Amino acid sequence: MSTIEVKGLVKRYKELIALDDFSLSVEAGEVFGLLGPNGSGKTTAINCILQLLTYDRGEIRLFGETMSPTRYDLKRRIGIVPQNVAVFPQLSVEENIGYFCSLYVDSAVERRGLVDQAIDFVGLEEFRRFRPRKLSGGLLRRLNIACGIAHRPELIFFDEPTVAVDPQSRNAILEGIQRLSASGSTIVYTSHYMEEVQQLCSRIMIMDHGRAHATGTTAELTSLVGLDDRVEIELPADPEFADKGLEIARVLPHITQASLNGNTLRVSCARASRALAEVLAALDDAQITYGKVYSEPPTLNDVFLEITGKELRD
Amino acid sequence: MRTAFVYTVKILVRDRAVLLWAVAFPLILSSMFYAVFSNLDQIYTLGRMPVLVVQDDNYAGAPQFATLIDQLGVDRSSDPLLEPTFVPTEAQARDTMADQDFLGFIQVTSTGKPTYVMDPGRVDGSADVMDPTRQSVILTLLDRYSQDAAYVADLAKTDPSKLADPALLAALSGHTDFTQPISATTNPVSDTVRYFYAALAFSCIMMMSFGLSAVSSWKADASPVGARRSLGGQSWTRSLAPTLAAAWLLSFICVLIGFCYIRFAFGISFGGKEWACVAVLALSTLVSTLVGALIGAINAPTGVKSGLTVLITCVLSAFAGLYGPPSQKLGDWVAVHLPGLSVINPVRQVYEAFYNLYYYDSYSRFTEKVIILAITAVVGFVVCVAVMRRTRYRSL
Repeated sequence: MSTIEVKGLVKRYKELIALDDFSLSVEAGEVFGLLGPNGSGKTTAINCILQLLTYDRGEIRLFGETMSPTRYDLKRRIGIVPQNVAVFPQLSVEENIGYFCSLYVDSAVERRGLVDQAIDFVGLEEFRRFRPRKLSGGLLRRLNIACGIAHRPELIFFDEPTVAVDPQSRNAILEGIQRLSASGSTIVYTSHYMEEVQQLCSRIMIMDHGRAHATGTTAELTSLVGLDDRVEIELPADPEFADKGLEIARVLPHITQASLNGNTLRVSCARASRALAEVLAALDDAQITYGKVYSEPPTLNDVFLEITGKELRD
Repeated sequence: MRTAFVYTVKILVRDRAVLLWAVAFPLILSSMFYAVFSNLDQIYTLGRMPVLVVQDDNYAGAPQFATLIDQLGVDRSSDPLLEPTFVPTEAQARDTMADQDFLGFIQVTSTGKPTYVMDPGRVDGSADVMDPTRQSVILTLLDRYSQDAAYVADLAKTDPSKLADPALLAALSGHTDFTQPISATTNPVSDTVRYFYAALAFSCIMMMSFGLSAVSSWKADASPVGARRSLGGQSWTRSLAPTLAAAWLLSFICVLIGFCYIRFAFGISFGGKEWACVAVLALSTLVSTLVGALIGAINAPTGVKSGLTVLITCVLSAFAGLYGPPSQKLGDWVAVHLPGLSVINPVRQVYEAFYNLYYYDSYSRFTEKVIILAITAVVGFVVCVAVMRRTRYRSL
C-alpha cells in the first residue's frame, strides 16, 4: 500500500495550469525527493495533497484512504515543515513546539514528552526558553522542523527546509531527516539543492510546468536521459599537441563527444572506466604527454538541467 | 483545548501593541466623554442665582422684603436660591450688571414694591439655556411677594383681626414650593449617562479586533503560521473554541477595566446594578469576539477586514447615540419604527441593556437584551465555524 497515491491531479489558476494531470506514488518508509524549478508546482502539489488548496480534478489517497479536508484522522498522521518559518514570535521555542503539537496530540502528559524529544532531536535544548526573534536563521529552521515533527507523524513533508542556512545547520537538518527516515517515517522532500536530494532520497521526481517529467533513483534518471560519464584530461600547453589529442579522441569507439577547452580535453563516454583507459593508451601511442585526469559520472544536476532545460526561471 | 487556550492568551497578551490599545481605548474614550459631557446634567439645574439688590432708602423702608432676601440668599444655607450682592444705588447696580455676571438687579420702589430689571444679555440671547427659567423664577418670586404684601396691607385696612389667624398666616407662608420635583424612575433622569453607556457599548463592540486577529491567524492565506495551523489534526470547532475563548477573555478584561474607570473614577451611575453590568460586558464582548471572528473568517486581506470592523462599529454606534443628540434621535427613531434593525445592532443592544438597568426597576427589558445578545453570539460562532470549515483556498 502506498503512503501517498495521487492520480490525475489538475489544478488551474484561471488560464495557468499549475498541476497538469499530476500523479505521484510514495511508498511507506521512502524518502521521496520532489525536484523542480521555481513555479514548477511542487508546493502546489503538496498543498493539494494536504487539502489546503482546492483542485479541479484528481484523486488523492493517503495511507490507503481518500483524503478530504475533514479527514482529521489522516491529518494527525502527517507533519509539515513549510518553506517559510511558521512559528509564533510571541511564544518561546518550547511553547511553539508545544502549541503545534497540541494540534495533534490531546494528552498533556504525552505532549510534554514529545516536546522534550523534539527539542532534543533538533538540538535546541539550550534555547528552549528563547523567543524566535533571538534565534539565528539556522536555529529558526530547526525550530520550524521541530514544530512539524513533534507529534511523531508517519508522513512528513519537508518543503525546502534548508533554504538560507549555514552549512553546519544544513548538515544537522539533513542528519535529522535521515534519522527520521531510519525511524520509519515516510518523507517527501523538496529542495533546489541537488546534492541534498541525491544524498537523502531513495527516489526522485523531477517536475516542471505542473507535470511529473521523470521519476526514479538517481541512476534510473541518469540512464533515462542517456547522459554519459565525463572525462577531462590536461594536455600540453602547445596547441599542436592539444589538437592532435582531440583528433585521436574523436575516432575512439566508446567516445560519444570530444572537445577542447584551452588545453583540457573533454570527452563524454558511456562508461568512463573503459573509455579512460582507451584514451590514455591512444595518447601514449601518439607520444602526447598529459597531466591531471578527471573522471565523473553525470550528476543529478545534469539530469535536472537536461530535463527542465537551462533557460532562466523566475 | 486548555493548552490552546493558554497559548492563545499568551500570544495575545504578549502582543503589546494590541493589548495596550485595547486597554487604553475605553479609558481614552470615556475620559474624552467625561471632559465634554460631565457638566451636562448641571446645565439643567437652576443653581444659586446671582442678582444685585439695590440697598437704598426704599429697601431700608421695606424690612419684610429685606427679610425675604436674607432668607432666600443667606439663611437657607443648605440650598440657597439667590446669591444677592448689595449695591447702594441703581446706577451702581446698572454698572455692575454691565460689567459682571448677574442675572439682573432688584430694586424697591418708593411705594415699597420690588421691581426687577433683567440683564438684557441674559434673557433671550444667553448662552446658558437655563437663564430664561431663572429670570422667570425671580419675576414670579417678586410678583408673589407683591401680591402677598398687597393682600396683607388690604387685610390690615379692612379686617385686621384676620391677621392673627394662624391658618391664614400658614397659607401665606405655605407657598414656598410652587412645583414638586418627582421622578418617574428610580434613578434620576440623566443625559450624561446615555453618552457613557454608548461609549461603553462602542468599546465593547470595538473589541471585535481580538476575534478578528484570533481567527485571521488561522487563515492559511494570511500567514505561514495560519497555513500550518490549518493543517492541524483537529476539527474547526475544537480549534477555534479555545482561540476565541482566549480572545473573549482579554476583550472582557479590557472593557471591565474601562467600566470600573467610568463607574468609580467618574462616578457614572449604573443604577446600582453593577453585577448585571458585568454580565452585559461579558456577553457583549463575547458577541464582539464572535462577530470579529466571523469577519476574520472571510476571504479578504487582513487590512480590509480590520477596516471593516472599524467601519461597522462606527456605523452601528451611530444608532446607539454615540455622536450626540442627532445620533440619539436617530437611534431612538430606528428603535421605535424599525425595531428589527435595532435587534441586529449589537452596539444598540448593549447600550439599551445598560439603559434599561439604569431606568427600569424590572429586569424584564434587560433580560430581553441579554437574550438577543446571547443569540447573536451563538449565531456568530456557528457561522464562523461553518465558514472556516468550508474554507479552502484557490491560491496561497
